[in-house]
Amino acid sequence: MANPRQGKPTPQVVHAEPQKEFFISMITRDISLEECIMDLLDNSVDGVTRTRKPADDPDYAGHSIAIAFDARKFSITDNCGGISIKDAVEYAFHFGKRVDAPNLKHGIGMYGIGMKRAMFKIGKDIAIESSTNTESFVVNIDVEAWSQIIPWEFQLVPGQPKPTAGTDITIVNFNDGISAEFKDATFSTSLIRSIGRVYARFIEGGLEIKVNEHVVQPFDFRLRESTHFKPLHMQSTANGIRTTIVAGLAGSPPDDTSAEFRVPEAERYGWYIVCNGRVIISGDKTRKTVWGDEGVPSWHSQYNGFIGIVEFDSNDPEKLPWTTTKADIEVNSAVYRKALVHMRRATKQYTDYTTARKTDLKGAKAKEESAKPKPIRELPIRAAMSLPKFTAKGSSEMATISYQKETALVEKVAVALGHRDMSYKTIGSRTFDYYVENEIAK
Amino acid sequence: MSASFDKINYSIRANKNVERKMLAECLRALEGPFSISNYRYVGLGSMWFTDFILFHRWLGIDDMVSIEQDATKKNRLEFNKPFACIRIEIGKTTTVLPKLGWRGRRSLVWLDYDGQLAGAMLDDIRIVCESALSGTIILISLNSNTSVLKKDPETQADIDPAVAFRRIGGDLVPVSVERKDFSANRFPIVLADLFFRQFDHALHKAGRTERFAPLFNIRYSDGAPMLTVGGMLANDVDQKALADAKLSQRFEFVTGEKPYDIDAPPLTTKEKMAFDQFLPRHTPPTSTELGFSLTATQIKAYYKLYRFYPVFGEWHP
Repeated sequence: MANPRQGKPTPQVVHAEPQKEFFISMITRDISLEECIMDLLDNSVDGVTRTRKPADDPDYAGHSIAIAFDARKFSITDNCGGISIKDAVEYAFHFGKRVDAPNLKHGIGMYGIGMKRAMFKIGKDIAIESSTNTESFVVNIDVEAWSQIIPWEFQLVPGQPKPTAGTDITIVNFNDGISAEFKDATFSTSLIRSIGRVYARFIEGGLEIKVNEHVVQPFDFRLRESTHFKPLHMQSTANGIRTTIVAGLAGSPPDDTSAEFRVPEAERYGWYIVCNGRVIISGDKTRKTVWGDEGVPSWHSQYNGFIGIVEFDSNDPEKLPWTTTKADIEVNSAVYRKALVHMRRATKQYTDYTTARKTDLKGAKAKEESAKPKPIRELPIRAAMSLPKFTAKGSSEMATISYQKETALVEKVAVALGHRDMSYKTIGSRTFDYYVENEIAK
Repeated sequence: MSASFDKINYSIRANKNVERKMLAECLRALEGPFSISNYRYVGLGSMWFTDFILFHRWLGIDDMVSIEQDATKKNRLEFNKPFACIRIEIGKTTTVLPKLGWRGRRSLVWLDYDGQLAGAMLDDIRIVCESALSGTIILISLNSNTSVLKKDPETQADIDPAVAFRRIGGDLVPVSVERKDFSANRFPIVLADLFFRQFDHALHKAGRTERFAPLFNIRYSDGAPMLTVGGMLANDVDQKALADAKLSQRFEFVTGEKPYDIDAPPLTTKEKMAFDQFLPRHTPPTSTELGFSLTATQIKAYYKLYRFYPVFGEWHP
């Protein structure tokens, strides 16, 4: 409290400007390298979206994005329209979207942070070249030098348009750990798989994405359909957001739930959340997509085989339930809560089915295998999923036999029966059949 | 994973025999910079302990562990083990390896599986790469046949081997691998590549600064096609010591990641002795000089490995 006898105090300015080093380290901390690369891809995809009418036109043919990296250099090059000098000067390099910035209809890169965060995460020497049909520019950023100066500005050098309208970002002088990650043999395989999944809808629409010269194939979302299996496929529109939910059987539930599932087999199952065509969550098996919540059992390998996809589409990307890293869903958003109701119902129906089918495993498998996997876009609209019913009759006639034998001996039996990796369940069943065949009078 | 003693005495496979001696000779050359004699040897000795005998004699290693999966064989293994310095550990490699304690001394690990590719082999590499000291040498041998990849384990129906291979190798398998890579000539290359990737990857994942220095990619067949890959987990100091040893200049079978084929021609003892009388010399002898007919390829093959060529005989104790 001011002392009244000393007169009115003079107000002083307290410094609160962000420190650039702190800022850079903070924005780059909570995002993985793979997510960063996808932020750059989002920018390229938005480049195409910006040029089209209507904005949700699914045709991306003729557009391509090439990512290349080794232990020393990273680059991403696209022919997706480029950034105008006005956009670059006014908006594109801002940290955070300006309040007065126009919204890109049906865009996927809405927070105005992705490109910068991605570049700063990767390295210290950054070159951005972009050309539209009418002009071009170059921005070179030396991150260490930039973090020493006060102004939050970059220098842009304008130029004549290039033959191809697009953007080219090159980064060298990597930050710690980036080189080792790029060198690791699994990084590019895993990145290719993720891109195939996350951008499946754009790739199906004709967009070509290359990673180190390899053309990425889209993840083929298919669900089994027959007279017995009818996947859920519902659509609704509210508040400018179109919601599409598809769910059903993709593979077969496993016979032997103790069997070890390695990637990528099991990771494909579970729920997918898609915003404006971009996958936010893949193969989720946690509480945020109903597993273990409100009467739905927690994920168990018995449920392998299930795939559900929720797609949200809106011309106003700010309405969609995604977080800044786009690696997560805003679980409290109203539009997502509404979708959860249907997701829960479908999931519960499927989990019940995987238990019920045990009463007539042979019949269930025959039905599952005869249902043909169909691309999700070709599935007819259907308000509820339907799955085969099993009567209790089957269970009273079946017995389960369970016993233990030495592993070394069981492995020998497996080889004798035809395959080293045969499941214990099949080994038990085959040896029993053998006894019946040879010892039980017909 | 080890059924070898029920099938054949491994020591009488000629190419395997040559490979073992080549490896021993190369490792002996590391005695100066690395004191290999102070290493611990971890192997799958089976009933014959052939590698244990060789490495104890040639390298002077006197701390040895043999892993055996089949508990019922313990008694026979104890009876047959040739030296007191060999400890038998019962269990699957994936269970035993983590328990061995890796910090005390450097190890020479030879996981000489006789089966085809299995996921547990990649796990074993991971376990060693997570824990072993810099300077540790790791070798993996396995059958490079593809039959287990070509059949569904449950139904024995034909399946795409690339799918089964990815199921085992996960993201270690490059996106470019496809069905044609599972031919007898292509697969050993793809398989060796998988293991070299796993050595690098496992070290990276474990957050280690050591890098994998590839030394061997050896192929041979004594009936079944076999592959041996290996190298050293090395920090900067050991990388330099290894480079200074100039192994690839001294031994033509130290090729790094490039394949090297051992193909010992079957010779009678009389032929072998006649051939040996011309050696060593700068050029191989001709058939005319030898006095018996061999193809040029056979002559060249024997010329390269004559010092390792085994002679087997029958013995009536």
